Amino acid sequence: MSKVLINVANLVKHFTLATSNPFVRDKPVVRAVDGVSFTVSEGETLGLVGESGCGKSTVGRLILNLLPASSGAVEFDGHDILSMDSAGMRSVRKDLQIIFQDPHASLNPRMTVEEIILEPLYAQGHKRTPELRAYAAELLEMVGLPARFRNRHPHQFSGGQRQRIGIARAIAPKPKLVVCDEAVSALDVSVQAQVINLMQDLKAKMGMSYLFIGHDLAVVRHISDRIAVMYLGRIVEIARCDDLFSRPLHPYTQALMAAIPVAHPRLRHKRDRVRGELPSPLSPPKGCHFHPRCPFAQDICRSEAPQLRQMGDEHQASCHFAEDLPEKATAAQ
Amino acid sequence: MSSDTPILSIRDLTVDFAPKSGRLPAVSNVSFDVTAGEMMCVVGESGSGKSVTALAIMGLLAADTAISGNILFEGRDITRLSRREWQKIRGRQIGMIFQEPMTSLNPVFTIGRQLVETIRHHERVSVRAARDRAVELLDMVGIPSPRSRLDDYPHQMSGGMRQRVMIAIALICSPRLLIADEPTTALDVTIQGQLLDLLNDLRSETGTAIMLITHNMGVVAEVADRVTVMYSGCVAEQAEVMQIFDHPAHPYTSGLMNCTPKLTVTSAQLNTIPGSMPNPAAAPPGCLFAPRCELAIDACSEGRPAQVNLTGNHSSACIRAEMLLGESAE
Amino acid sequence: MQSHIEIDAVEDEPTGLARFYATARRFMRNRSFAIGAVLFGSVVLVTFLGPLLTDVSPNALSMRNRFQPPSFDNLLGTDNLGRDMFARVIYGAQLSLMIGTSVVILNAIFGVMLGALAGFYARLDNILMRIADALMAFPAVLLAIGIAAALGPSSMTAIIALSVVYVPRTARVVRSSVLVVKELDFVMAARASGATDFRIIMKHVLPNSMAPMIVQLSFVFAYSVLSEAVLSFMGLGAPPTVPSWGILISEGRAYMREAAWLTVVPGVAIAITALGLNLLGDGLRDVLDPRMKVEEG
Repeated sequence: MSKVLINVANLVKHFTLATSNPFVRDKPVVRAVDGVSFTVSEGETLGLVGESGCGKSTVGRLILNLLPASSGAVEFDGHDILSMDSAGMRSVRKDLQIIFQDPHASLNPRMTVEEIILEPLYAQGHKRTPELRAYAAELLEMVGLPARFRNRHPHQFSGGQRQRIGIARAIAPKPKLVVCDEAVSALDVSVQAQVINLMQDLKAKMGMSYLFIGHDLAVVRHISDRIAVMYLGRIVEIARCDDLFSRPLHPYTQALMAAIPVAHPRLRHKRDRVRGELPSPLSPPKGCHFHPRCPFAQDICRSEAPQLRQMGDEHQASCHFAEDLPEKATAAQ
Repeated sequence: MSSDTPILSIRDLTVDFAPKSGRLPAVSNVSFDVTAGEMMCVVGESGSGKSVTALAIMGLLAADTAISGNILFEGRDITRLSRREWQKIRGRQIGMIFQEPMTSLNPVFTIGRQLVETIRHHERVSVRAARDRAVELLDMVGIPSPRSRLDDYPHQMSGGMRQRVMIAIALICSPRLLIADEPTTALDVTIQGQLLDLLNDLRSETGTAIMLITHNMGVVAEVADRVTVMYSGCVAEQAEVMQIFDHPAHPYTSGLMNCTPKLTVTSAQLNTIPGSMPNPAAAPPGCLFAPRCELAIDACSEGRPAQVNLTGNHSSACIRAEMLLGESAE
Repeated sequence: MQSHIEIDAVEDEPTGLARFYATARRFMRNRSFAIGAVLFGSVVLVTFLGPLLTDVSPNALSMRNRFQPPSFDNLLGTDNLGRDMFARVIYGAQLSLMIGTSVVILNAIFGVMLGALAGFYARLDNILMRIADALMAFPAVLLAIGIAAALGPSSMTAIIALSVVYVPRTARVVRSSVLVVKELDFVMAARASGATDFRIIMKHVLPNSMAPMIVQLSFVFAYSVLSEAVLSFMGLGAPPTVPSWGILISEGRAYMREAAWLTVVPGVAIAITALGLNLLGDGLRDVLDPRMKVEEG
């Protein structure tokens, strides 16, 4: 197995909500990320899926140190990211890049495409040289845009083209890890497929790792080697892609898969939808966070929070009944 | 109920926001029917004109927009109606729900008050009776303990719950047609499934026809009876849902289906449609899809293709439709 | 609905001289910029060419020609001491414009700096904005009069007083747009690339907060010219030997009924300058926005 590039251990982020009432002493606390651990190896893509509000984007911001973590540790390429000073952090940043969801907000509208792409290098102290400008042209070609567009401004491009520019910016400093925060979610289907293919090509060419954050299991599956499923601030299951899909060991993972629309009308069937909605992260349910929606919940689920347990080769799940789940699920159907 | 009489019938609808600019109209020569009690899905990507079509049916486009063609609702051409007559149809006989459940409800009133006011706007009933009806509606759209939720403000509800409330409001007058514009796009997958089930159940219980606008072929596969595929303001293909999935007769339809990532298929590369939607200011001369089409021949760039009627209810705006159909039948 | 121009259909950006002409054309095609530029440009031109346009000294007395209405000899008439109003308005422009420009420069430096700091650093925000609130609680003119009175009459006093009055207002405007812009993804992207706060503020935040700032600065200029008139009018601006537009109005006020041109002429000059600048500011805001290029092309 290849070397671990980033090791996230017990990462926690609490947001304290501001209340206008000065007499309330205990301000409400949102546990956006509540003890998340995972690793990403060199050249690997880890998918991080979950519904809105599960904390997956916060995890991305935390490991980039764009948000201060409440506790936990992130070790990236031998550096302890969370305890680094700003100068040290700045030098690590060239190895850690991010691609955003919204192609309209993620590019500075006042800059030309070339300036945008080279900004990470300028930020690292590089000077504007003919070589660097040639490099910008090369990057544009790499993401499938003609180099002569380099003096254009972002508003002259379509959503998919902008996302390509965002990708060019992220790969410009030749990073080791790129966090893709819902990088294709805002795109039309036909364009989305183009961008996913591009991201896979670039990974093969440059050998970097991705942390691919998304909500569409089919998309995440397509691009990832392993997948971590998040629910209400915690990872509930993490496994190799094919293993996760052939043997999901957490009821929430099963629910997510069952919710994916069928590929052909002939496959329509009446199914048991997961009940209810995501509880408020302000007051998560006691015990297992998923128990109010879980069809298999028992007393123990209401009182005791399950830990992530090893369920096989590289497969972890946090369900009290993970062992029996495959049988239960088939019995329920 | 006779199932084959169209309740809504659109003929040659063209909507142009800037008629003199020479730009491509937002919607051009769109024709389709929605029959009573059916689920008609209009599929297309952003810029395909699907939402504009819906707004035109509802009469919600700006007054200076150039609209031509006919929109027949139960045989009456509603484009010829006065503002007041149109208003009577809107909300009473045609209901609409929008994509964004966060902004469609007024944040400063409780949902009970918004429901009760709408009910009393349409029917002369007491507040008490209206509240009872509101509870009934909320129950119908699957909101648990509806009576206690009446006093909630929209921000106290999740996105999925708000969308259910929007559906409840749309159902107040038992409309004959419900237009749902991307009702599940802003919602999570698990909630999306619940809402699609709800729409399907409502349709079979109340007999309301639903025109569901979506960009997601998965949603189409899940609920549609019939499908209209739109591209760049034009109808590309129309057919029964099985026909569309088994024998697509327009390259855009098959392209759209092929580039959606699927759980069952894991290949290294996704199929793609190269390029992007044509620029409305510089549209290609012939078929609008031709520049992205792998099957394009010279004839494709000579004039806009007309709808070709294939078998039964199947029609396609591709000059090679018959060939495509023949291929997939083999 | 998504609309974008088809990239291949557009020529590549021109370079060099062609680019300069293209830019100039783009500027002048904006109607408010063009009108503003013409109005304000003529004011500036007249101000600097003033001594060439008239050989009459603004302070030359001519008791025989008191209160002459506008005529060929005295284009804009004469005042109570027979001084030529044309010369006085032209020479007065120098002082008024000097004060306006100085106040704008001070605002551009301190207002933008303080606004950017307050908007970017939440910790500084409270302190800076409470001070700004305190200063803004006074009516603008009253505060300016108070400061000017404390420092004693001079044109420097007027500049300082007006800057103290307007810097908090500029800072507020800048702060509120910085608050919005700093949350945008591209700022996050710059931070993720290791850009320093200084670089983020200068390259990413401020250029995108420019629109309201430009309009605000054009207001500040117009207001300064007007307020300087008020200060001078109250005897708190420049000493009366140097005519400024404010002083001209102040002196003419006593003869409003007999010689209206004494107040109308400098008043119109102020109005033209203020109007020109506001149009210029509005136009500049639009022209500097790269997104506006498409709408025209």
